[in-house]
Amino acid sequence: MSSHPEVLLEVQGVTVSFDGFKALQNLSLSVPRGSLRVLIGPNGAGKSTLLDTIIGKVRPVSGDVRYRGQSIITWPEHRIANLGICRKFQAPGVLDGLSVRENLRVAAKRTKGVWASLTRTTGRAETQRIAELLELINLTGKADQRADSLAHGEKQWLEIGMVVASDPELLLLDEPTAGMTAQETAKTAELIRSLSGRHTVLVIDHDMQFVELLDAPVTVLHQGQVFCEGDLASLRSNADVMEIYLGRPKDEGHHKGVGYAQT
Amino acid sequence: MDSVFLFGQLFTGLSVASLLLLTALGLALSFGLMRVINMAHGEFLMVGGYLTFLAAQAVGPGFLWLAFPLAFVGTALLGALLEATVIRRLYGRPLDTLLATWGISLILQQAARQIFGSTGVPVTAPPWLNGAVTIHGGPLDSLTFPYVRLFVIVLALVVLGGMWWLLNRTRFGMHVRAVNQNREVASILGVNTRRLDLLVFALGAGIAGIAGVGLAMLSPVNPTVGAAYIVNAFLVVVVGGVGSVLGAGAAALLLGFVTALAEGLTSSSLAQATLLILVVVFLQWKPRGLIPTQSRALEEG
Amino acid sequence: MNRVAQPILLVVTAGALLLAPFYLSAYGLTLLGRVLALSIAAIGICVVWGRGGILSLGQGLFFGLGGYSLAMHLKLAATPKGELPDFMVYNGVEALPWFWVPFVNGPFALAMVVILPTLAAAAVAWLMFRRRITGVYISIITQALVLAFVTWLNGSQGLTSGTNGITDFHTLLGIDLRGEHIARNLYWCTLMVLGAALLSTAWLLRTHFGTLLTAIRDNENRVRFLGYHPAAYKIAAFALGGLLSGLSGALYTLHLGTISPAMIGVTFSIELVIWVALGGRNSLLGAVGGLVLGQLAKDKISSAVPDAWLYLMGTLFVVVVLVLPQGVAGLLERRKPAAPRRKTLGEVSDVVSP
Repeated sequence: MSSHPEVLLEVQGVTVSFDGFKALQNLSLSVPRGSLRVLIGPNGAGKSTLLDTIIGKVRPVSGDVRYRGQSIITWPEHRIANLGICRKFQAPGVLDGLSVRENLRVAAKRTKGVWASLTRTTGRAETQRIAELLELINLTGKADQRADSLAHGEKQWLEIGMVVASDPELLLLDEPTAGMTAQETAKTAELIRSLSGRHTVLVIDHDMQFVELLDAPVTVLHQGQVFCEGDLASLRSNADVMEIYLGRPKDEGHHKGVGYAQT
Repeated sequence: MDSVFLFGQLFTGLSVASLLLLTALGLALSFGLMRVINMAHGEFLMVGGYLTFLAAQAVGPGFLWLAFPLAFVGTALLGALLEATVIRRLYGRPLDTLLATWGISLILQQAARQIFGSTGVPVTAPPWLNGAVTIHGGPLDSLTFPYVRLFVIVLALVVLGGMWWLLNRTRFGMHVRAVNQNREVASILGVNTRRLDLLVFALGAGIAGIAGVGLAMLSPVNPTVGAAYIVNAFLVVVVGGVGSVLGAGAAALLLGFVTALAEGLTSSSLAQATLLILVVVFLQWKPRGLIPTQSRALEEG
Repeated sequence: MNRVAQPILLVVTAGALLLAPFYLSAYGLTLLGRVLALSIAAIGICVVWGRGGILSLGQGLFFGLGGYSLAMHLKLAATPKGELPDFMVYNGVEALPWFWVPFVNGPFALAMVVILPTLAAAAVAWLMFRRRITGVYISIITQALVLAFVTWLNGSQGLTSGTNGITDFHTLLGIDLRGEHIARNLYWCTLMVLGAALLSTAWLLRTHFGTLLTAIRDNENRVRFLGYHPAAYKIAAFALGGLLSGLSGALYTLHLGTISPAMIGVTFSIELVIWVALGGRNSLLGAVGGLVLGQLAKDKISSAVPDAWLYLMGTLFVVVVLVLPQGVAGLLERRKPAAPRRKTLGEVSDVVSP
């Protein structure tokens, strides 16, 4: 263990363009192993695009994404995922036609090949682990219900559970608390904090109360670039940040996802 | 292959491409807008052809003035009926729509068979379309362009121009493009998407009806004529790029020419088979077609 | 249907099918055998479409590859040594075309019945899924492919006997196909293949593979970003669909004693799908039942009132899709609470349907 935390993910000068619109402009960001990092920024700042780029869904026109020092920019998505990068999408991405338990099982399987899917059976350790996860996400009672019968907040939990089940090194969480009650939000914050250390976590959210609960360094994105970094308190006293993002400070915390200054 | 033959084939290809384009326009429109594949679209072409036949029966040689409005309105109404009764109920289930509209096409074909018989009914083109332009002298000596085929090409150009104007210069067209981009946002901004779906679908059907008029003058109309055109029309849509009128035009030309040339080189069945394979290969290269529509909404779809 | 009635019905049906040669007329038995052969293709559609969400309108292509593979061998076996098949002689073909040559060998032809459709399906699937072509595009492309195949068959009179198809078979691996007990044995053989196909597919869908197929159908991106390669799963499912279609085509050819382009074309391919839709696209037994009953009904009705048949068929397409999207099997399942997949009593009891 060195005193300098090892860099797990390094985004280097990435530019992403959609039909001429630059969603990310020469953006650089580095995430140390085991850290918890929050990304905020107004709508259109490029937060989701950044995650899309890391997982290979969007290919940048220039720049590089390095993971454990290795460039993954040209890798196919499933291979990037197999490196241990797992993302929770903004809209809950659960597998509707499967039961809650099966959703977790799909995520938890270590072997992802077709042949393995035919021959491997579910071991006791895996069953045990899924039972624990069901407890963690509070869905034990609904384990055999189809995922599409869950409430919105429950689907969010299920997807978080799936991301955790896949036991990734790097978790990317895109608005994990959208549609959750205050209590659920607090519980999610607690869960995420407990994950950091063993896992590296990058969270996007709009909800300032949630960000406050996470108590982690915050990176502000604006117009596809890193605007500034710091803890939430220092950002709050930063007039520039207030101007581009928080806009009207009195609104803060009352809106989730929408309502902030938009261009 | 000498140049006269080559140009003759190209010209024939152009006229076939014209009909293909008219048929594909409606498909491209409704597919772009509603993500709906209408397997009964070829039957609109067939109905347009039969309506032309009826018009010719009713008023004799100068039937075109009647055939066009009759074919357009008749098929447009049929399209509206189909949209309102079946397609609307299957919104968001494109594969099911495909099956249901196949059923409709079976019914329409059988109806045509019982009313008009299974052999083709001939429509004689008006006298002023008899004859051909023939080139005399030069390297293309004795190359002929029949008036009827020229007429069909001009017809396609006029309709294509009209469509372009409608889509790019009118409020209706703006709404269509808006819904194409993002249905939810468009409806929030006050576009009546349901009514628009109905109108666009009827319009697409009507254009296929007009293509039917052209078709009737080139060859006898029979109950399976729609089925003969539909697969190629789909390929035009796929190759052109979803919901792109310009792409459909380019793809129709491409497919028409390739077919005509391949027919010149080999047998027509082998040409057809080769073309279909070529399209599949083409999609390897450009899976989103010649002129892809890019939007985030499409990505998710 | 409740838990008791279902197995009883299944056993009764299986028994009735096994004993069919003892109580059905010769015509009835041939018809049933033929339809059962077809239903093997329905199993494939159930996997590919019902579970995988991939609607192929080109199953006739794989069906035809299986059928023609066998028919080519049968034709050569029925042709005296040193001579060419009759249709080649009529068309002035002077030497056996290269792709006919290996089919002289019976075991090779039988292997091709399985290998050719599977490989073709895998290749088509690879081309499509590699570039992430989805939804209606797949339907259109597969339909175009079957049309291309049929068009080529029709146009190549001397190579494939064209529209007439290949006919006039006598022996298969030395067994006289016109023999007395052959109808009965062929029937049982078909039933056996069908049973084996049903059981192995049912097993397959219960493995993690089956779960993943459904997962990919519902949310391909989620599965991809969990580290799976969805295309590989879809290709495997599609190849299985091709394999089953090919088997079905070969058996069907044996039953009918002929195969022709009209039997495997666009209309045939989409009709297979609608019977599966009627029976239940998500249920193996539903798909097989839908196809068998549908084809039997078609046989009766289309000969009794030929003009009405197409109207009926057309209406069926519309009605099934509008009213019975999960087919008859879905209707029977509806009383059960929200689809618990593993059906143990304890698990079912605490699930409340929404």
